[in-house]
Amino acid sequence: MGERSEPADAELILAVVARDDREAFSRLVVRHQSWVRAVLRRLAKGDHGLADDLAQETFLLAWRHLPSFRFDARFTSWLYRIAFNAWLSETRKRREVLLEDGADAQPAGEAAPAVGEAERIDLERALATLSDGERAAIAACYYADLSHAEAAQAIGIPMGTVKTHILRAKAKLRAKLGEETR
Amino acid sequence: MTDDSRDRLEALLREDAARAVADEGFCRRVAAALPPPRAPRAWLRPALVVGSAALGGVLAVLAAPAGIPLAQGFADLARLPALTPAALAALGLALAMAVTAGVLVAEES
Repeated sequence: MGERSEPADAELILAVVARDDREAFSRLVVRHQSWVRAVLRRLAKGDHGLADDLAQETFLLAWRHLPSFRFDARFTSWLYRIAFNAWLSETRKRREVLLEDGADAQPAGEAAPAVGEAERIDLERALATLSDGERAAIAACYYADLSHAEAAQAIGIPMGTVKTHILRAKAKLRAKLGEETR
Repeated sequence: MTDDSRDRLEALLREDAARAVADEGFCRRVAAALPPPRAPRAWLRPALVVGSAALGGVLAVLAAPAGIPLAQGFADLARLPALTPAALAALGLALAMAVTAGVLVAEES
């Protein structure tokens, strides 16, 4: 007898929708919590508490809206969009968010998590200095592993803008990380 | 800008993205925050049983030859206090259906 393989996301989603299956939903949460929280930590400039609150909100919204999931996009892309919108709505309560373009963000004072080696901390600090759009693009394409097209759709900006954001963000990160190591 | 610095940043981003975020009770908190399970539709089975019985009764009356006492009984019931034997039979049938419904509802709850 072969080992029983892990059910695909689609099977778990169908179980949740058809039978209100909480165990299936818990498996989806276990499977996706790590990248969702990592994305939100990046978007929230390293504020882990806020990121986890938003991640919880993301999964609760996903639970509520799963019946409307149409399987025409990857579940990851759909979930990223919910997480991104949760962050956007929370951030807009406090300030204007510029996704198309905008000035660099100020480094967040509270962004200093104890996450291992110095290089990662430097990266986290450098990411916090990017503009909202650049951080959203990096979070989508690296932390959620979305294609440029998926990221554009999820964030709601043209694909060309996503590519520009990624290029600019990387240039800024290289410069920042270069400064840190000098 | 060197290829090395490009590769290093790319690797650093990929490495950071691949690093698992420890659960630390997160999944449990999400599960606890889910809305309560949908209440089973307790009314559905009794409604189906009683509805089927009522439909069966109506069909039986309609399909029966004219002058059947039960049909006359319902007509008599409508003109209370005409408690004819047929009306009593109709009343009995109605009461039996009501009791059945009551029992089913009690059983469900």
